Amino acid sequence: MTDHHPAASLGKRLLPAIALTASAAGLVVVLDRPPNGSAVDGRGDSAASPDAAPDTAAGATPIPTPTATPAPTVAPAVPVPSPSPSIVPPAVSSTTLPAAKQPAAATTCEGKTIDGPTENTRWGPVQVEAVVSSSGQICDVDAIQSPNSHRRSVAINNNALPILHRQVMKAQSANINGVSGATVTSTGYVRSLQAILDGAGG
Amino acid sequence: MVTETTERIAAPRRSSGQPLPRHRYTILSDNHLLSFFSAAFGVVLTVWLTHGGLGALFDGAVPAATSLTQLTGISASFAGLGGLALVSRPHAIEARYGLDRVFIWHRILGETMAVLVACHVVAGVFAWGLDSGFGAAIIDLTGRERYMALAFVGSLIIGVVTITSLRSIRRQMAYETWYFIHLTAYAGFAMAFAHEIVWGELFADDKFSRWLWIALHVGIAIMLIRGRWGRLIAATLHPFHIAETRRINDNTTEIRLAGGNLHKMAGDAGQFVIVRPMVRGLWWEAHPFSLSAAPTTGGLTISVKTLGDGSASISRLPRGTRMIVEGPFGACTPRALENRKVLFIVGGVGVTPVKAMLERLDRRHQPVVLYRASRSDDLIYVNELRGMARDLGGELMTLVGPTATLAVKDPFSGKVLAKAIPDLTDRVAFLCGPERLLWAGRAGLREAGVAAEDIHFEQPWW
Repeated sequence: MTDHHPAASLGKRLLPAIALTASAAGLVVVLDRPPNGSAVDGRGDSAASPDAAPDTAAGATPIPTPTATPAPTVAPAVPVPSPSPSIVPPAVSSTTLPAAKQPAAATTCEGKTIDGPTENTRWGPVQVEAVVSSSGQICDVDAIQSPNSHRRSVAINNNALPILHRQVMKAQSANINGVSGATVTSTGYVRSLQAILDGAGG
Repeated sequence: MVTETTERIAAPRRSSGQPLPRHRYTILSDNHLLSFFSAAFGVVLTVWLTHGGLGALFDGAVPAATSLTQLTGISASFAGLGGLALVSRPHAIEARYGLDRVFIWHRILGETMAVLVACHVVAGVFAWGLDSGFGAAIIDLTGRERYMALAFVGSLIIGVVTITSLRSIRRQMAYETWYFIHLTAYAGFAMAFAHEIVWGELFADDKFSRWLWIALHVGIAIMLIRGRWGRLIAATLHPFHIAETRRINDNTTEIRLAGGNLHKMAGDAGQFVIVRPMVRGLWWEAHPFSLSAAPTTGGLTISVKTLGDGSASISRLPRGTRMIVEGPFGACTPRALENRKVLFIVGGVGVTPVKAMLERLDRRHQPVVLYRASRSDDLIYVNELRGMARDLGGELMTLVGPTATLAVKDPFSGKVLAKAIPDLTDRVAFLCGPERLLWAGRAGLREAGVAAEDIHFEQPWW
């Protein structure tokens, strides 16, 4: 059928496959942005806007700082995306532990520190620690565990946990809106906190 | 330029030596294949179930989409792994079901995988996008997230490979063009692996399932390397050579291949080999040829057309030319017969394996051979076939001429077949020849009451 021109035709027949391989490799190089700090920041940004909205809406009144600030301040503190389990707690507690030790910073609110139960969610365990005064006031709240086995969870929670903190401090209860885009963590957070409040109240 | 399994040509003279032993069947050969496949999929599905996959489906939009992403992802990978396992051509499966079936199953699994990959991508974009917006999801999932650029491009490669394998498109390409493109599927598959292990909730969080998954991939990779490269290397290290060529008629040359690993080989009449001449310009083209004599330690005999493309080049090769021979492959062998009587329906080039099979039959089989050709020049081995059939208590019937000139309108209709062969329903039927003859013959045999499991043929898979 075809006359045989072997050397030429092997090349010719290889060509489409080589072109496919080359364009695939090129595409990977173009698309693959290294998942270091910049990527985390990128995620933080994109997550911040949708999350900020419900928070302001819920907060209606006096949110002292512009919504975006807490997230960026926490995010850089995270030693980013190595998936070792101990990343998030230190990052978050570094912002809150001082507050727990000096509860008088803004208002004088003193109480005992109570660890809530660990709530297992689809993305990992959530555990809340709260400082509750004898009158039932929530002086401080802090996530001592949150889902961190994925970079995406870490990024989402870096953004969500400060918002949850503010929501709880303002509502002074576990009756909060939660953070959209972090519903799983929010649910675990609320459950763990509610357990503390139930225990402390009763 | 395209050679097919059905492109069998002429047949050779019986070569001396001991018959080669048959391939051993194993437990996989014995209709347990589907059970085995289902059980393996059950294990993979269990991983999904034990990670709350089922419950998550009813747990809101994001968990449901995430769970579907996982399910379609592991199913796609599993289908792909099954397809890869098949192209490693495991002897136990191949000798029982035939390389044609193996390739057809491979195609079904490959197409299934492509569809599942598409579903996986859609579900994944939903799962991610419902959380963080679809624009961000697409950016994240095509490269911002670690290993996702690889996975995304891998899925594109799988898409291209699948499209080029659609029959209508594939038939417009030279075999090698298609084959080389098809090879990139390995790259596509491998590129997707990292995101499964790093991101897949089922594997990233769970050591046990992760190692199970890795072990599955490593196992299949070993099968592939052994089955494809190992065998090819072994065949290259122990090449056959052309020991004898004999001109059968103007169109056909018979070639006996000797040497190689003959003393260690298993094989049977009715099988075919894949031949690559170790000659500049020909080595990279693989040509399947049916054995035209029962294989013996004395050699493998093939019959090659002297007109046309690659086959013609092979027919002109001198004695002593080294040939890489893979196989024999195929499940259309006398083994399917046991002690029953047999009918062969043969079209043109399909005669060679029939001649080989007749060499391995005895008087219990009383072979009847229906030999159809459009020109009398196309009939080869007629005298040999007639003599062999008569010796075994059977007969040869030839049917020559363009269809329009035949006395009956459809020579393979159930009525005509039943009339020509009174004990038709007692017989096991083998069909060998061009595709149209296969389907026409099969339809006629079924119409005449022959059970489907008594009809054997190799489906053209190209």
